[in-house]
Amino acid sequence: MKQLLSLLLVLSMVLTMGAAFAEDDTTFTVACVRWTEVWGTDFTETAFLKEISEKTGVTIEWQPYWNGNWGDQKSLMLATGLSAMPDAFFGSISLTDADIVPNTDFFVELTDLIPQYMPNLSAIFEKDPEMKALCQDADGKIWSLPKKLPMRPITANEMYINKVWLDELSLPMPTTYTELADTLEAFSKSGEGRYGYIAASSLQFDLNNLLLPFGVQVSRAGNMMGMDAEGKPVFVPMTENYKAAVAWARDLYERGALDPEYFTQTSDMVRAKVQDTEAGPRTGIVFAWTADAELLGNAKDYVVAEAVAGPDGNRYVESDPTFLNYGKNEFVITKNCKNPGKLLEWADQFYTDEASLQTYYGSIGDGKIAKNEDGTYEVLLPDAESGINLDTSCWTFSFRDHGPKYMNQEFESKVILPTTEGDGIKLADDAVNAQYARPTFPVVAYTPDELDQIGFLSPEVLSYVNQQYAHWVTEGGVDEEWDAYIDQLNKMGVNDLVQIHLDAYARYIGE
Amino acid sequence: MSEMTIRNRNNHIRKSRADRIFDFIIYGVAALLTLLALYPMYFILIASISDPNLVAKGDVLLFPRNMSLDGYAYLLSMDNLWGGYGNTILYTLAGTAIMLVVNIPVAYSLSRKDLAGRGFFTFFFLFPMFFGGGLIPTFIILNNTFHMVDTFWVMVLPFSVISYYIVVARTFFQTSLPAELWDAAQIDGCGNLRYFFQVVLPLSKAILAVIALWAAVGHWNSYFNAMIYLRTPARFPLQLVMRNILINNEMAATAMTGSAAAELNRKANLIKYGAIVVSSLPIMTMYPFVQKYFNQGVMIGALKG
Repeated sequence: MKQLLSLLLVLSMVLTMGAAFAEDDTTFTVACVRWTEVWGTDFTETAFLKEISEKTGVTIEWQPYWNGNWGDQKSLMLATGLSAMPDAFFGSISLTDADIVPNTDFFVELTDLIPQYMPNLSAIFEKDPEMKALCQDADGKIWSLPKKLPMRPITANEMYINKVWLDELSLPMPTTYTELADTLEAFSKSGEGRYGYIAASSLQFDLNNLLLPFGVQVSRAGNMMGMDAEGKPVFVPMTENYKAAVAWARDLYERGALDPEYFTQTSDMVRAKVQDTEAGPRTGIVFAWTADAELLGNAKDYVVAEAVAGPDGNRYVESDPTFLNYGKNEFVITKNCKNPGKLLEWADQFYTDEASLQTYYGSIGDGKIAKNEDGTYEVLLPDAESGINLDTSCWTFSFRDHGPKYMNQEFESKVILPTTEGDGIKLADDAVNAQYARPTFPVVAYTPDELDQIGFLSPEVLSYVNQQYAHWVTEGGVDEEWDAYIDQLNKMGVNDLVQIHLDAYARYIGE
Repeated sequence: MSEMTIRNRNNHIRKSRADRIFDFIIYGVAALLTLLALYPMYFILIASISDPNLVAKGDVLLFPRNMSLDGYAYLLSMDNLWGGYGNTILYTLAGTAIMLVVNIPVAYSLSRKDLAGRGFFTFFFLFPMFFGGGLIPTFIILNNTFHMVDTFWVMVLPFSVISYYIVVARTFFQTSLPAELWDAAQIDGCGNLRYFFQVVLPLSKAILAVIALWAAVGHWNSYFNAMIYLRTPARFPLQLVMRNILINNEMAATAMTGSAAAELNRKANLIKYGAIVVSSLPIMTMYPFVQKYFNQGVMIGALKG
C-alpha cells in the first residue's frame, strides 16, 4: 500500500512538471485562417519561420482554420470567450474590426508595447505615418499590427479586350466610352453566342469596372462611398454621374452589347462561358486582375486596354492602393497570452524587407527565391513537375497577402519577378493605366456605435440600390424614377448612414 | 386499400373503362414521381464524368458529354480523402455502437409499464426532442467543462441520445413483446437482465437494424459537428474534407485576385459531382442489406403507436 502511494505521488509530480513545461512562456498558440485546405500546411514549416524561431527562441503552435467554416467557428469562439481562444490571431481574414472593436476585453492593447518590443515596426511608424494611422481605432489605440504588401500595382482591375475579334472586324481600339459602346455592340452582332461583355453583374463590381468612365469608383470596403470631381467624399449611388452611368448601361443592354443573362447568371456560368477553349471565349471584354485569372487558357486572345475617356474627357481606372495594399488586424494578441512582449518580439521579425519578401513569395532557404551576389533577389518559378503556377506556390509556401509585412520602396527595385506569370504580368499591365489613378475613399475606422448603426442601416439601403440598378438596366426608366428613388433612400435613413462615413472620414483626414 | 381491391377484382372481372383510366393515372403519377426522385442522382452521376464547363453552362442534361475521369483521378490522388474516409468509418462504427448502447436500453425501460417514475422519465427524454440548449451553451460545456473539443470523443459521445429513436424503439417493444412473455419468463426463473439480452434483443432485430441504419447514415453524412468541434485536419471526417475543398475553393475564387484563385475554382468544379458520388456510394450500398428490416421495423413501430 505504501509503495503504491509513493508511486502515485511520483506520478503526479511528473505529471504536474510536464504540465509546467507545456506552459512555458516562449511557446504560443497562433490561429490563422487559410483560403483553402488544398494548399496544405507547408506554410508553417518554412525556412523563414524556422530562422526567426531560432533567433527569438519562440515556438509557435499553428492552428489553421479554413475560411469556409471560419465564420461559424469565429462566432462560437467570441461567444465562448478566452477559454476557446489561442494566444494570437494571425492574418486579416481571421478577425475584422467588427470582431475586435466590441470585444476589446479579450485582446491585449498594443499601443505602449510596440515602442518597447518592436524596434522594426516603430521605425516604420516613424517613416510611414500611414502605417500607424491605419491601425489606430477611433480613440487612437492600437489593437492589431498593420501590413503593407510589397511589389503591388497602383491599379486594381484592368480592362482586357479581345484582340482577335478587333482584328477580325478590323475595328480600332476604343478610346472613348461611346466608341467602347459601339465596339461592344459590334462584338455582339459578329456571331452566334458572342457578346460584348459577359459577366455576373453586381453593382459594386460594375461601378469599379464597366461604369468607370463616369467617374463612379467606390471603395472596396463595400460602403458605396467614392470621391466626386473636387475630391470630396460622396455616396456614389445618389450622384448625377451615377444616374448618367446607369442610363449608359441601359443603352448597352438595349443594344444587345451585354449578355442577356447579365443579372441572372452565377459567376460559375460566366467562367464556363469565358474559359471555354473549344468554342472560344465568347466575351469581348473582361475586367480582371490579370487576363489569365479570369480567362485561363483563353487569355492569349486578349490585350490590356488603355482606360477609355468618359463624358468629362477624363480617363478613370480602378485604384485603391490603401485598401488593396495596406491592412490592419494582421496580428492580434489575446489575453490568454502570458508573455505578449516575447510574442511581439517574434512578430517584429516580419517587418524587415527581406522578411516581407519571403513571407510573400516563399523562403530563400527553401529555394523559392534566389539571393544573388549583387544584392538582388530573384523570385523563381515553381518546378514544371509540381504542376502549380507561381501564385499558387506563393499561397502554399508563404503567408502571401496575410500577416504583418512591410517592404521599403527602395528595396522593391532589387526584386526580380518572372515576367511570364503572376505579379510580373500584373505590374506590366499596371504600367499602362497607372497614370490615370485617382485618390479614392480610404479605409476609415468606426466607433462601436457607428458600426452598430451601419449594420442596422446599410443592408436595406444597399439592397434597394442594387435592385434599382438591375431594374433600370433591364427595364429602363432611370430618368423618370430618379426623384422617387432619392425620396425612398432618404426615407430609409441614407443621410444618417452617409454622415457616419463622412464623420469617420473627417477623423481620418484629421489624423 | 384501393390497390388491393383493384387486384382482387382483376382476378375475376374484366376491368371497366373507368378503372383502366384510373390505373393509367395512378401508374403514370407513380412513374413520374420515381423519375423525379431518380433524375437528380442520375444527373450527379453523368455530371461527375462530364466536362465541368459544359455542366456549368447547363449543356449536360441526359447524357454525359466530353467524358473524362479527371475529377475522380484528382479526388483519389488526395491524401486527406483517404484520411477522411478512415475517420468517417471510425466515427460511424463507434458512434453507431454507442447510440445503440445508449438508446435501446432506455427505450426498453420506458416500454415497461412497471417502471417506477415512468411518466417523469418519458417526459425527461422527450423534452429535448422539442427544446434544445442551443449551439453556444453546448459548445461552452463541451469546451470548458468536458475539454472534449478537438478529440475523437466529441464525434461519438455527445449527441448520442436521440429522443426520436427512443420513441420509435419504445413503441416497437410495447407492441411486439406481449406482457405475457415477461410473465412466462419470470415463472421460469428468468431475471430482468437475462430477459433483456436473451429474449428482447433477439426478438427485436428489426428495430435494432433500423436504428443502426439511421444512426450510421446520420454519422456518415454529418459535417456540422465536425466543423464546429474539431480543429485538427487529421481528425476531419470525409464530409468535412469534401466541404472544405468545395466551399473554400469557391469562396476563395470569388474573394481573391490572381491566377491561384482561377486554379482553385477549376479544381472545385472538376470534383464537385465526383465528390458526392465518392462520399455517398459506400453508405448507399448498405441500404439493400437492411431494407427488409427497414420496411418491417418502421411500419410496426409507427403504425401501432
